[in-house]
Amino acid sequence: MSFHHKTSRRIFLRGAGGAMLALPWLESLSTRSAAAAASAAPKRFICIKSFSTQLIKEWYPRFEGNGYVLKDSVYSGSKADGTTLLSETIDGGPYTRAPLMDFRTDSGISGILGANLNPFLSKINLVRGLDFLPMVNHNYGGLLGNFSSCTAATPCEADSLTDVPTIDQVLAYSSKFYPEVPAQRYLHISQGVDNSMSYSDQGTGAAIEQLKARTNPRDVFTDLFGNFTGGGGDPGSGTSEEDALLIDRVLDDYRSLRQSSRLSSADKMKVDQYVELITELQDKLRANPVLSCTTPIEPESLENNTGTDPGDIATKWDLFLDLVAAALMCDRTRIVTIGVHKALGPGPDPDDPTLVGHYHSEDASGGTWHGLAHDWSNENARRMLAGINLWIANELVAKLLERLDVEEAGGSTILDNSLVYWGNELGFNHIGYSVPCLLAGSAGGAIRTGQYLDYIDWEGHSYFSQEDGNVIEGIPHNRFLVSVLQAMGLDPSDYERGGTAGYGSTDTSGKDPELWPVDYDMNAIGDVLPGLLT
Amino acid sequence: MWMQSKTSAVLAMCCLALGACYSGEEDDAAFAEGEGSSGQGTSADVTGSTSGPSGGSDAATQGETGSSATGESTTTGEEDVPPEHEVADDLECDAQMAPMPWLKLSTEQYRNTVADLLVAVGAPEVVEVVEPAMASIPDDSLGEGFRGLDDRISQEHIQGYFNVAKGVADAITEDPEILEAVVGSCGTEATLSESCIGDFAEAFVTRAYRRPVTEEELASLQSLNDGARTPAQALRAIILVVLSSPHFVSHAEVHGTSAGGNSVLFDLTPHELASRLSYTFWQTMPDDALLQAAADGSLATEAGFLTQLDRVFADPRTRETLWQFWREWLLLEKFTGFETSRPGFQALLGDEEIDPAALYAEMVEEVHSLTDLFTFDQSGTLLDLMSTPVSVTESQELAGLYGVEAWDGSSEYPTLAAAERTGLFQRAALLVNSLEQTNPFHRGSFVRRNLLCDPLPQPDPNTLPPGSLDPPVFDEAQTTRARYEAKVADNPLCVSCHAQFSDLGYALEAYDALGRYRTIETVYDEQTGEELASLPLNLETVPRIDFADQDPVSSVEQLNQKMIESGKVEACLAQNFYRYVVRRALASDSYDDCVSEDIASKVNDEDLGLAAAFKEIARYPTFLQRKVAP
Repeated sequence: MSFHHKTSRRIFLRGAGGAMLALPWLESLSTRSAAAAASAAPKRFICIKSFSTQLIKEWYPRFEGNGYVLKDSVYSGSKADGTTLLSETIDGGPYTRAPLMDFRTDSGISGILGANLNPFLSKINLVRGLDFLPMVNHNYGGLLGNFSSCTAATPCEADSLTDVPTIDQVLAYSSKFYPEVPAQRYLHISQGVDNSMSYSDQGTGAAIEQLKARTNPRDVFTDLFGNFTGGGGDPGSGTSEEDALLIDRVLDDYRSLRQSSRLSSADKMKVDQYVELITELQDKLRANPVLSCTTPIEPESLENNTGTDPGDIATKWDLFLDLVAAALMCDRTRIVTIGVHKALGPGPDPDDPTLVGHYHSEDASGGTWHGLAHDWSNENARRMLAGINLWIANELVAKLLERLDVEEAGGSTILDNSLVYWGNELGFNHIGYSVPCLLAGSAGGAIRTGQYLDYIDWEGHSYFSQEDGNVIEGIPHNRFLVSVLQAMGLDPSDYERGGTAGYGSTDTSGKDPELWPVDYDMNAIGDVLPGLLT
Repeated sequence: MWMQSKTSAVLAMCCLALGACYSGEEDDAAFAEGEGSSGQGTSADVTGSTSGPSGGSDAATQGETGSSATGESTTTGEEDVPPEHEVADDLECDAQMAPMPWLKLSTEQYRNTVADLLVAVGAPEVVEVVEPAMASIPDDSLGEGFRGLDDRISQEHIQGYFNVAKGVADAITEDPEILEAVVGSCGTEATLSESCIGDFAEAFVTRAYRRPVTEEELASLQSLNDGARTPAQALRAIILVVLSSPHFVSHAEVHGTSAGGNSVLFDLTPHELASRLSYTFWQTMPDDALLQAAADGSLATEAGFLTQLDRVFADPRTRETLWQFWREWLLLEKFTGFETSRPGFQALLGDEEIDPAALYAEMVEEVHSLTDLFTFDQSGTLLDLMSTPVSVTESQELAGLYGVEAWDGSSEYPTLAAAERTGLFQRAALLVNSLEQTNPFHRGSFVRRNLLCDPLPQPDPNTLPPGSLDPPVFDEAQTTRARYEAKVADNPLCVSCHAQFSDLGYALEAYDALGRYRTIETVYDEQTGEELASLPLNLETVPRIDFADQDPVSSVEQLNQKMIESGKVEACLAQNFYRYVVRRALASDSYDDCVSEDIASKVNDEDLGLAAAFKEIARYPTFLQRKVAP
């Protein structure tokens, strides 16, 4: 089986009712222009987030043989968690690694990381042991570095921390990541929940706020393809330059408003935010982008809802994945986040193979998914929860990788030049330790792929275990964030805040050191993860 | 495995984590002082929101001079000066007014305004043209309880506003018929005159900005007709600029004058008052009658203001706005649907000929009809709403769940059995669960937080023993209540918090997951739907509506009566309605407290009724004036 998809494939947009709408542009994208091919392909960052507890025994390999043993044969008590023990050290230890291909079976590398990921194992990294230092609960922005983002229904100690932009937003407003103003700095997608995992001041210096997510495929299309001129767009009776000039008048209006004594300081900062955003719009109009690919066909509008109709869920994910692939291929954006609040999975009858819809509501109070995650003592609930995550692995993550693994410049694929990060909201239960992490792509050669990296020192102190998870000190998630930022081409001076090394809060307030690991090596907090980058 | 040596440390930490929980008389006193939350399931409102613009003369000002009031604090000791408007309510209040921030039009307000503007100027067909662009503007989220409180702005908003402005400008100027309808015949002539633009500005821009155009603004718009643009291009430019302006997309209340010399408090202009009336009650721009009342000065008089207020409130759009308030306050949009794929749920439906997909919509419609009935149709009070036995649903399915006939739309309303269901808060829409099992903790916490506005902290799973937040283990020999009671009783860390709300949920076990009244709980196998047991319910609880009240109730009727007697529901309704209207967090120890208390006193005033109480919001100084934060 070939692990590199070098031939073009057709991608289809499907409207409501399943009608297939072919995108005729792929041939034009399968090879870049001579000038483009000569330059390095851009890096892209895609984050996929699933929710609630993750089933540790199902997520990580439980492979025995070929020299591998389970932890149960070496450890007793809570460390005997049924997962494979790695033996090769990273840089002399205490962390370990193994080639991911060593765990490949016909059904995948674990109970959740299923067979559809097999073709991509050489491009994947499985990471274990990433710890959130702040004390969190259900949260929006923890995966990407803003821990002060627990949901309203599940507040946490970390809410008292100062908000910071999530790393996707650090990239979005970095001139190293985007040397020129892009058509769309980012794309946030979700189903059901219209708030994203991303926090930003949108480059305006205003207060950091949570960004919204798009929930309607048509709106995503409009954002990506509906606002440019030339090369197939419809400019109406005005030109972009004319409209850019008119925006000057609008900016004058905002600046005049800002002079009003009837606005507070906070109001004026808000006005400044509008000015920055409108200025960026003006810049885009002046850039007058020409789409390098033929305009895709606009999908029908599919309204957001909190229902769990399987057909609706599946159709929207198909459309979203097509749109994401198109967005990256056409270089409309280089940053995508995907909040998987809805997925398919098994129903409550174990003898019925029909997949049903599952929903994880924004504040974790609605939908079946969260309820399953809490029903730990119920074997049937665990079966369903594992099935949901298996579906995500096989039908979302793998299908996205398939769409991205198409050749662009110099023999590399879009996937090769990207970093896809599948993370979970939490570790096991509501604990932010050992938060699961699957990476795909090498970010243009910056990342070594094909590895299983375990950043838990299994000889270390075992604090306690819950469900099938065990709390042993791993490595700060902050170092993963640093690794991503550097893999994307940034230097510490581009992301460090207030002269502090690393990224994201390391505040462990509220944690009893007898109950939780809190004593991490802060001298290394600004370092990348061992063994990850080339 | 939980390590016993850590138990004492855990207990100590959990006591801190649960420190806000009820522990006795001290907490009763605290709650009696009204320190309850807003009741939207969030923490208590933040004090001291920001800013507020102006007031005063409605004559076209010459733009803001940027004078004074920069950096001046509202805590300088300046006293609030009551509005001069004769319509102002003579509410006695010692507290200072809270600042009002500069707000964008909510997404709903924006869409309504675009549509109504186009209709008003003679271009209704353009609404459909720009509908996709309007739809792409992000909906406001319910995160803070009400969509109107979501004031975030993003690139998607800005792009959306631009797309709409461009779409409207293009559609009007590219179609000669529409152009003539909107601008007049002068708009289609070979040259575009100053008078043509001036007339167009009066018709279009006055409506778009909800106030007269200033001379400076008019001059700026005139300059777009620079000779390099064709007449159509010049008009396009004007429309695009106007619809992108902050004076269109936001509530820019910046033209008022100082209230009695106060540097941070401003009397709103008549046009700003017109906008307050229309956006408060209609969620859209003022109509021509309101704009005229502002222009001719009648809105500045008591009689004129009351005339407009009465007219605005009587408009059908006010009903929609108030229904939106009920819908958001009662969290009716948060229900994620019945899990019809579960065999247990199918078994719960039994022989009921019900379409679950449609059922919840019918339940919500019942709440809509009920609130409308007692607010508008019968001039009722909150007490009437909380104690009514009538069934207003025209749905056969829902009526069947209630054990009554569906209302036929004209006869007398069927009557519900008093012992089974009384008032608004015992209607199915507020009781349903997605699964075939009920969740008394969810029901109880909803009552405590959202209907009584009492603070109720969320449990922190990181401080609780493993499994604390897992549902109780299934036992076919135990009712849901018995299983949940046993789970809490086994854990001393949980008892004090659960004492605040669990009993409320146990009392509501009188209703199954569909909201049907029951005295027997049927237990189903979740995998097969097999009926496993029928267990008699124990409905006796101590609900502690008032925390000091240790009297038990043994029926939902008694529970409802205690809620009525507590006075908490009207206070909670008032706080939330006020917050919904002002679109900001309420400030503690401010004039907001006085307004909330006054509304609470009026919603049960038989001489006024709910409608009048809601309408009175327009007579408070906080409606007629605006305070600016530093």
